Amino acid sequence: MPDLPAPALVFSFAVAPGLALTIVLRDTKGAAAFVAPASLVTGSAALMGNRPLALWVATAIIAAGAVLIALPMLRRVMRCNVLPQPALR
Amino acid sequence: MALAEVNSPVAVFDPARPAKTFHDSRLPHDALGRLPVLHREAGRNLSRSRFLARSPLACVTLMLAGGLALLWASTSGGGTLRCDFAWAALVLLGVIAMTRNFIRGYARSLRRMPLEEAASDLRALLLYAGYMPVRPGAPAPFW
Repeated sequence: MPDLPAPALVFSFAVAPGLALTIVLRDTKGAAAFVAPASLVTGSAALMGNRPLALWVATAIIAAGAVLIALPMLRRVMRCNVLPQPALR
Repeated sequence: MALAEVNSPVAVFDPARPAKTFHDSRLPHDALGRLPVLHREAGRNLSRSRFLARSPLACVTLMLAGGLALLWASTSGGGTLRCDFAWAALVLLGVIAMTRNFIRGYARSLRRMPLEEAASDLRALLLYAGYMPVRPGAPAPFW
């Protein structure tokens, strides 16, 4: 862990809990409820922290959060299209 | 008494009774039309109950992430004890609330709260936990 460069460490610490909760919960709204504020707050803090590559780290954190929110939604839409609801009439 | 000795007044087989086939009977189309709605409702309830059942694992994940963050903060020499304690207490408050919600909505057998309400409460608690990442006084923005 100390061998990693600081921006990568910050990024991994910001994204890993959101990724873990997305995998654990498997609920689109629940994962979005955690990931959206976590990525926004962490990205904003990275911007305000005057760290090296702050803009890139913040952008990467927010983009990773957006991907984490969008992927379960995309999977849900694809599953709805593949398995239509049964209709009796 | 043997079963063969039972003298029932009702005829066992009445040939005069009209036989009903599938086409003769009047199908309850209204009731059958509700089956897809019931199917969707059952699917939603199943996904909600699975979501609630995974909340203890989410609590463990949050605590592990918080512990790693505190460990990293202590090794990098940032953050005071008071600040770390307040942040850990806030995270643990969220974990306790999620555990209580799990017990009230899933684990209890009697007087269980509705699944929809429990799931929305869990989402609100996850929103609260999502605002916890940044600790004041931390050396870097992290969980």
